[in-house]
Amino acid sequence: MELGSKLRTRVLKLRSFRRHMAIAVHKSFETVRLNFTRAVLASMSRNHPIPSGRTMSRKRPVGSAKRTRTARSFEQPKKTKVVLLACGSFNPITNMHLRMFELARDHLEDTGQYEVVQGILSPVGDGYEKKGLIEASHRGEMAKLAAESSSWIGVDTWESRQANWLETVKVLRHHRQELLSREPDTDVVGTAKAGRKRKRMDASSATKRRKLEEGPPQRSDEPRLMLLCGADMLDSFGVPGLWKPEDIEEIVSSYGLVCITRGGSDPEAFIQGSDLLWPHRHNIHVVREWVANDVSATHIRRALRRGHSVRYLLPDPVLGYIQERGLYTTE
Amino acid sequence: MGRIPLVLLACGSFNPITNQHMRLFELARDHMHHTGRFQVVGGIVSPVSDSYGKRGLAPAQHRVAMARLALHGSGWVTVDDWESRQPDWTETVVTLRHHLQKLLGQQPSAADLQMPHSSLEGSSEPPQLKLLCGADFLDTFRVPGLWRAEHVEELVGRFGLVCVSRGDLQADRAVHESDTLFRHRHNIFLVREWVRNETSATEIRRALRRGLSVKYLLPDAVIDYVREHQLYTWQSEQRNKDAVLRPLGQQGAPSEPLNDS
Repeated sequence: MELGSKLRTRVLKLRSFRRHMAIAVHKSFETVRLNFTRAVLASMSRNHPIPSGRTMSRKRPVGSAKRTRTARSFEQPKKTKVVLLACGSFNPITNMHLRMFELARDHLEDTGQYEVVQGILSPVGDGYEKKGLIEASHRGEMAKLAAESSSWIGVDTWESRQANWLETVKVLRHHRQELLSREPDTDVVGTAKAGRKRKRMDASSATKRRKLEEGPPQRSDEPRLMLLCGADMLDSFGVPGLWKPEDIEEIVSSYGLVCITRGGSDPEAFIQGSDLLWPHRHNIHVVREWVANDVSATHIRRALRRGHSVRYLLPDPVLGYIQERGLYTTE
Repeated sequence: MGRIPLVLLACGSFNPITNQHMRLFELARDHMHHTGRFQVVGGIVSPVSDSYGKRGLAPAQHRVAMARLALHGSGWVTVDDWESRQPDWTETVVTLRHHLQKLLGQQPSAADLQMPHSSLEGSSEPPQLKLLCGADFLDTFRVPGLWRAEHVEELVGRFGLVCVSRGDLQADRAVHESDTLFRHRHNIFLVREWVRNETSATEIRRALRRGLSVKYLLPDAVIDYVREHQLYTWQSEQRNKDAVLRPLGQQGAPSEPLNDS
């Protein structure tokens, strides 16, 4: 249809306007990206508190005191990515369990060799049949509530859904398989937290693009799965008949151990005295808990049985869950 | 019922407030309730004023704000900034007197005291105010010049102490080794948390300076506040570095230390 000349002029002006707008919008995006990059580069010096990539994402991570992650990935692109897996009863989950993850991450990243990208809580199944172990469904729910405020720690209930108890090494193998079969552009942190996928920042989207360009991910690119545990687990390696030597060997050679100390244990001495562990000592990271804290789930269950307050020993939402259902009131 | 209504007052730097500070209140409340003689009706966090002169002390307005954030969800513990607003450092006993007067002078209504309305009903006993503290607090009585003898007497005689510690007998020993404390031992309640649970604010500040995580040791809201205001840095820890702690400066020559063992 023929357009009248006035209308035609208007349409042409509109098109030109839209094109200019598009260019302006594109430019402003570029400026934002450029400014962000400049800000990150400027703040690579440790003296500047850095707005890490995380602060720019939609869901601001609560309570994360770390600030140099994005900068470090610029400084040293060849860090080993690590995923921490913690197996346990989590009966119930406590602040100290969550602290283990934070301590482990700080410790590993402080070496400059690692980047911890994910934390997984894997509650044990009911087949474990430990005294006082409440249903896995509850323990899993509580763990999820506890991990809600974390941007990188999540819960995986695969182990808890198995009919029989599984050896730790089997759980490790399962999760490593999961990591390897993951799509290259899947948000690494997102799997356990439905609906809370974070936007990746430009640095990591560049990495993703590079991965896609290079084809299927190389083995060395994949995150390394490491077992996170307390010193008591390490000590349990010494209990006759409790662990198969080949399982211990596999854990410390193919995976790795991050072991958080508790009062009264000496992990370094234990490793020193073990011919099985000593060759893999570089794969066993001993982390000193600098806050003297022996509060355990056992202690919390006892307090609950006696009607004592456990507030501030575990996250409030977990406490609310326990109180609503009257959990842990009897042996 | 005849239970004595009891309010617990904690004085301190709260620099910053931690989960452990809030645990003290929880433990104390459980303990005092289980004696059968008390009904804990309230808790007060009273941050010290800036003129205290302690090293690394963040400005009072921030310490008060963080405490309020931390206790936001608590049904019974509140923050009072009277002490922090005083022009000079206030002796503990003076703070206690102020709060007791406030407690006694008020009509026992829920609105005034922010407590459940039923808590003061049916009790013929006047409410009491006791100082809530940790075991190391008892040892400070022995520091020369830090306490006036008559204040210690009033503190444990007139008010009373609720002292939370690990089960390591440190507090018991302190009471045993002081005649004043021993004389008032029935007004000193020793609460034990049998597992180690020591989150010191000093270590928290150190971790914050170094960019280490303190998540799960204090409420997320407090951590966010610290980051937003960049409160704890190497520079902030230098504050009051060469200053004399105000109580020592104010009280002049050291009085007799409470070493009457």
